[in-house]
Amino acid sequence: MVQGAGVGLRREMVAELAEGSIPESIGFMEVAPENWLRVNPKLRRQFAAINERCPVICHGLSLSIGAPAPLDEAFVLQVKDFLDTYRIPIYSEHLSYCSGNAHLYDLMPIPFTEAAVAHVVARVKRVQEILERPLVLENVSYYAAPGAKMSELDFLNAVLSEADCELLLDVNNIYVNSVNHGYDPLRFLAGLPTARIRYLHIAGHYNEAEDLIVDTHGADVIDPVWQLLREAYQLHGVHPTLLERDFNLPPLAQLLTEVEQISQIQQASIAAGEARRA
Amino acid sequence: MTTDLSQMQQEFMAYIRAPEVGEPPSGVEARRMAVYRELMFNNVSGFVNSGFPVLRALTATPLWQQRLRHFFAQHDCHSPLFVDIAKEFLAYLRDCEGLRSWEAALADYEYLELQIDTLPEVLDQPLLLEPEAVLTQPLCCYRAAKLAQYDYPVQRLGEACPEVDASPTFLLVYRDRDDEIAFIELNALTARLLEALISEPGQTAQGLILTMAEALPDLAPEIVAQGAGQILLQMAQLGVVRAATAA
Repeated sequence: MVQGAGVGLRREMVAELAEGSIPESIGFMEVAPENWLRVNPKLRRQFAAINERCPVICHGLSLSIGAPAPLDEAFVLQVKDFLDTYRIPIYSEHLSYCSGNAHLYDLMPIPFTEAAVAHVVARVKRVQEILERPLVLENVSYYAAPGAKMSELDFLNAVLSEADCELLLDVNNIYVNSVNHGYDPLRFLAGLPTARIRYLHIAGHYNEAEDLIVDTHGADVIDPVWQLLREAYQLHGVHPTLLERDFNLPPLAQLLTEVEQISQIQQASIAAGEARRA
Repeated sequence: MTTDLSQMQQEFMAYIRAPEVGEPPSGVEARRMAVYRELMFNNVSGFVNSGFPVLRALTATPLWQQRLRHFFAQHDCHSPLFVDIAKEFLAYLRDCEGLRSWEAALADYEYLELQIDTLPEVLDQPLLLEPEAVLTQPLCCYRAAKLAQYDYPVQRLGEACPEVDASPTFLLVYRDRDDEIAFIELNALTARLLEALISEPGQTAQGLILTMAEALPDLAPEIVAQGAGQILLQMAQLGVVRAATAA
């Protein structure tokens, strides 16, 4: 069962977690399948040992769901085999693209247009057909909106509803985009479809300029993002929530203080919800 | 998909890869495109740097950065797996001009380590730890072990040794019994013996000794037999020579 608060499983943590016990505050963990499809067998065994003791979910990077190039079905099958082998219950990806004629290995913004909605929807349906499970798509950070003919929210909602897929609600990305593109994060949050939310992400970021924030996953979560998480729970209910930290990784004990903070906010939100209903 | 969408995306990517060639996509600030460019270039560079630490250390920073920029702009990578970026960089490097004499060999060697490290687990080639078994059973060479022959002793290169003279070098790169990546330099006899085993797996020690004796007519057969036997025992201890199981 994927529940509570989670943290991204990085290579640097694997030996410690595979040999020791999994800290109680970690409800689940997340890996990018691209980082685990081809690894040293010892590392693979350590991953399997962790997966036996704590639910691990997959958060992909290279699916390139919005790409102008054909869907890499051989790759989707590799992911499916990985999900099946390790009985991984969730596979999420980014509503984005990272390749065309060649792979560029990072997330680029899909133009917010009707044509792009149709293009992505067809590809999501195909992926879901191959995987035989729902695809969960994340609202990504973006620094430019080339060719946009509709709002990010309308684009996201159209894809989710027409492809009938699930949402990975990234709270930090809403904050980052609200600054980078000058919109109200609360209104965006309120416009998301509650029923499609599968889980949440939270992370730290880097301030490049007053009006330009970069989603680096390399710093502590800031207070306005914690506040946005509370709002998300209040609007959409409490969902499993994972802390992403990919750079400037602190020692695990320090990282866990942020994981515990997620749990505290979840518990407080549940209590507040019960109080409101009483 | 409409060509408009596809074209917009291709232009976006082309500008990220080589901004000096064109204009930013219409309506997008150059500094926002620069964020993409730096994020993506740094990401790819990180995988190249970690794949080729020695080559990186032995190349002047401006030249290395120039190579990375050129690789990012010009070389098309097609694999969704990050581990393949190093393989693509190796292919790119082989076509580069002005390489130092040993550079391609060093890059090949560094990539070989990465490749062998990440080969699938081998379950059908059991270890042979009893000397008796090594000398009697059908043998094979471990799939997670590869022989490489270079014109330069590239394994010696490092910050303490930035240049090497040409000298024929046989290296065995393999995963050790603890699945850690390891290498040893081989003498010509050992390299030949392993080559014979790789080209025809399933031979016994006796068969290999005969093959070697025929290949080395200038040496006394008993010397070859003793040498080859020692080598097989040593290679079996390393987990490089293993038991061949029926296919």
